[in-house]
Amino acid sequence: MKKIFFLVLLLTPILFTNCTEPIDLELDNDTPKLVVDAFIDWKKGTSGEIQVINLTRTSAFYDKEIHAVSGATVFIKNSLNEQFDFFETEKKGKYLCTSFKPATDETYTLTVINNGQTYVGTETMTSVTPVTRVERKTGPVEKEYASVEVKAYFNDPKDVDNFYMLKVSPIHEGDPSFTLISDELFKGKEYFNIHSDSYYVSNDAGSKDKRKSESSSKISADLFKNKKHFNKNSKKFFEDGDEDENQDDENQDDEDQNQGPFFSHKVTLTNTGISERYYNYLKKLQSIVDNIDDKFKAPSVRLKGNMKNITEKGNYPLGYFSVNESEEIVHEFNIE
Amino acid sequence: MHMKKNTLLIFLIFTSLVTYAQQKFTVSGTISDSKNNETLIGVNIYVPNLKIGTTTNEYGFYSLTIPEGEHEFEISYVGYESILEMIILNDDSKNNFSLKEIGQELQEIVVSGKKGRLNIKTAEMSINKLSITAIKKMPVVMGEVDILKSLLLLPGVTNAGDGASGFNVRGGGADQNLILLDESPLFNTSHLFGYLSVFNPDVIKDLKLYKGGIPARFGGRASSVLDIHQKDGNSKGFHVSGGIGLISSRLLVEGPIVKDKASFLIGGRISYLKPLLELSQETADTSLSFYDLNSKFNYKINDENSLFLSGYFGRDAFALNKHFSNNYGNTTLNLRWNHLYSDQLFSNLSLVYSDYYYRLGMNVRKYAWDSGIKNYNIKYDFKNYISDTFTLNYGLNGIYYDFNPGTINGIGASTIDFKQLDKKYAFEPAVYVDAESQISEKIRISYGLRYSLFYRLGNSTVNYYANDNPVIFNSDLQIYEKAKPVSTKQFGRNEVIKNYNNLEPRFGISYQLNDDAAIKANYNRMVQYLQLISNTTSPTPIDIWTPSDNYIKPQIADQVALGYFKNISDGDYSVEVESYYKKIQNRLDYIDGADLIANDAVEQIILNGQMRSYGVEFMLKKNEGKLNGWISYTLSKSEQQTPGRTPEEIGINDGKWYNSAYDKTHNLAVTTAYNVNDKWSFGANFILQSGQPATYATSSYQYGDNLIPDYSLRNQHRLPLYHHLDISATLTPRKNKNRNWKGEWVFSIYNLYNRHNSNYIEFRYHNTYSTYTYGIVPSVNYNFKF
Repeated sequence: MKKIFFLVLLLTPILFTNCTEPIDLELDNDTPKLVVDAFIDWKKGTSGEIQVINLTRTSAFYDKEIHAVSGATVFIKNSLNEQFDFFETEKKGKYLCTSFKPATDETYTLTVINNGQTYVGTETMTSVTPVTRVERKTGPVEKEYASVEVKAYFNDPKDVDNFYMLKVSPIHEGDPSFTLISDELFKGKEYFNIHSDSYYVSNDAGSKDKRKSESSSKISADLFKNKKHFNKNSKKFFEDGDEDENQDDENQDDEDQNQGPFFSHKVTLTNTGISERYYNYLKKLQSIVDNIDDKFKAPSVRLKGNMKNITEKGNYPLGYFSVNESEEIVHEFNIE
Repeated sequence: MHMKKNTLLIFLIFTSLVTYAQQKFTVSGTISDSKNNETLIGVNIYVPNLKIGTTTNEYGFYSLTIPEGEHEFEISYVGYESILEMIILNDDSKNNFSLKEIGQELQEIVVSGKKGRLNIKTAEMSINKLSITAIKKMPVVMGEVDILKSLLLLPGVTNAGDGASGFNVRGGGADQNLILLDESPLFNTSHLFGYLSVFNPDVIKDLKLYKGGIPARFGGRASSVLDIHQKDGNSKGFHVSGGIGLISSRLLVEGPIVKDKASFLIGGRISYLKPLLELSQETADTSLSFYDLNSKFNYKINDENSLFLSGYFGRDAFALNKHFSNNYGNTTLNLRWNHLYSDQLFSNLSLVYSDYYYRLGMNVRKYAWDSGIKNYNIKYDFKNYISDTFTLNYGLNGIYYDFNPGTINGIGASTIDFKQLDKKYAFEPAVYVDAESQISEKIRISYGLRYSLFYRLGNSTVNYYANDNPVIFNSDLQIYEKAKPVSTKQFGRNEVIKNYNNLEPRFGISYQLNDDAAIKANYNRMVQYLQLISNTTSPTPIDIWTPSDNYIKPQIADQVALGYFKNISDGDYSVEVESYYKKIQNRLDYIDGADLIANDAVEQIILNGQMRSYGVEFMLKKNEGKLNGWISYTLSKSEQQTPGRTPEEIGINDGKWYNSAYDKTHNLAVTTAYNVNDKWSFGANFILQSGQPATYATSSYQYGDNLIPDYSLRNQHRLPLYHHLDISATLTPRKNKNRNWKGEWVFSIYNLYNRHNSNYIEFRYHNTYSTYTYGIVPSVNYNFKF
């Protein structure tokens, strides 16, 4: 009988957690494609004159290098045919414009000319619904963990379909870098962007901010993936220490903490108004990047953006040209 | 009586086929298990001197009309001792037989042959039966006996890998299987997201998988029918049986209400995962459980009338922290009335209610999402044993469906709007007639026709699109996009939105080469009016079914199969070889990146295509001796094509044929049982399959903060080879023999050599990862009965 109970203990973890391990696959190489990373963003309260576009090429899957595309001609035109030129900076493949004129509901056309091929894409600047109030909650410290929550509320306009990209920073590697929301379920009502998490707040010298172990099993994670409207950034936490380069920063933080308040942290919440087409693009992007389990997931496919090749139709570029307005709320909380 | 019979026949226009050449009488009755009075399905009744035979139907009934005189009857059934009985026939007679199960202690000295003999005499083919006793001895994951997983050892049957729910028959989708539990259709057959099926092995009497040659009484799915019957309950004595496993336990109580007349059966299973999940830090906040309850009551009013009431209720519950909860399960209830109009005319009337329920609670965002399918089914089936060479089946069937694709409700103080996705209603009536006829001593044919109708009904709103086209091809970007409806129309309650009707011919022929071999061929057309909206590789509880409508057309499957069947050494061995070709029209595929969840207008994301599959199946069985089992091998292909609707459109994969997700070129399965003595028996399974088609990323690029893998065309790659070996040992302590309490230990090791079979490849940060479900899994189960 003892042996049986031992077996029970032994087998438990096996059952409901899929195991993942590295595997070597032979992958054939495709011809490289141009990638246009043009996220034109007008932050509320700025002039929006400075904009950046990055041009790269796709690389073989195991190839870690990013191949910049240098020497391209890049410009945007608005509906009045005003041209805003982008010039390549010292960093190869990074093109900068300092004279962009942002206007909501204005239509812009991006042209990229490279290697004798001309690529174009058109997009209209989508405005963002302003944040009306910010709510913060700090829970009591329980078992050395403190829970915090920041909510940025906005009133969704009626009669229009609105699409939002919500970002919270800092984020943890592996978590989605943004959440997408369509106003389908709260049209004309108040809604919010939220950051909530528990932080480890110990006085011990040298201790690091740690995530409370509220991680989920694989199965649960998959369900989140499939839930269209589950867009909570709840499981964000900061400085997990996954990457070595973060270590120094963390130690820095610890030192800060010893002097000032027990615990202090800055959170940025960004709401971006996006077009329906860009929303659809980003949704597909999410499903490709949040690549977790087979059972609840649609098969991944190539992500096609809104840029086309007018010289050679079949050789279309990847990436997206989006023009958006955004609003940033910075919140700092201290726990004594 | 004659009058009545004739009217029926005239009505069916089959009069000409009936002849009364000589004085004949009918022998009829039921065949049951001697121990508990359970009726037995598919028992062979054979009269050697006439070379005439029949089999019992789903209710254990048989009827045979033969010339007067003295005849020897040979009654044989897998796992039971055969009976030879002389019957002197000078009038119609009622003969009920009871068969004795071959006990453990008898196993060594079994001589009464024919036990696993193939039935080469009927035109029936492409059908596999599995005995529940055999299934229970197979090695399985965690010792949880699962009848759906045991199907995977049969030729032509595969699934989407470890831990996946559903199964694929002859390259068809899991949604193309009609799964009937006591004639109630089930829409979701999994517990624990597919790790286990909903069928409690203790309450199952018999199962039969039709991969082709599907009789006309079945319809509504394109690929297969899995017909599962529950036990009736022991009407001789009160018994309890059960089992204790690592993740769940089972208990079954059965007994007579009125001895030999009425009996009941109540069986339940419950999981106890919670304490186990708490052991691991990673799953401590998760709760996961399931339970199910099967019940059946039956009452044999007299020789002509029997009533059956059976029900199933099962639920799964899953919760993660306080954020998220998920519940789903089936409920079925069904009442059946068997009535003998005469000793040659058997009838069954079924009233079935079945319900699938799904709920998702998003507690943080404060809303809950409910969805489900309800259906009401009436079925009246007749089996008319007209003569020794001619049997006629006919009947009618009507199903009313009520689909709820989703109701969204706020929980507590929530700003979420109540939202009801448009409910969908449909009615699917059908009539059929099916004849089994012996044309000559060597040739038997079966032919039938099903006429099915389908009405998509209101109350519902229908979207209309410009050019009647809900999916637009954006030639600029070379992608498909959703169209916006230009108008909508509200249809009132029960108003017909769209209707379809189809004739579904079925045909089978067998030619007996000699006493031990036959060749058979068949053709069937199946029409499927319901579609599963899912683009994952295996069904998930969240999947939504939708009825055909203006935009979604019914799937129409045509299949032909040819087979060779042979018994060797008087049935000690048997060989089956079958080849098939199946073509399915109107198979849907989804536009790239389609968003299926809570989608109120599915027509905007689907493209119409077709599917074809073909293959050769081979099965060698050893039916006798201490060592028995089978080897099955299938060589097959399953493909899909979704062409562009105009020359400029790209369709899916440039309009070319591509592998369907269920394409497995090679599929080898070996299963063996070795009975050492009355104390020990051993079992082993080995499965080797081609990897499942998959789509790989071949390059990657940076966009914003994201490194995006760039995928190639759909299903152009294949996962690594899939194989595992499983073993089991069953210990029946000797002290059992002379006492009421009979216990049994089943030890098993799944995936003995710890193969990491890849379910899925992840492409992340320039690395590829393989995800697998089971490594080596040892387990132990204890089963008992008293």
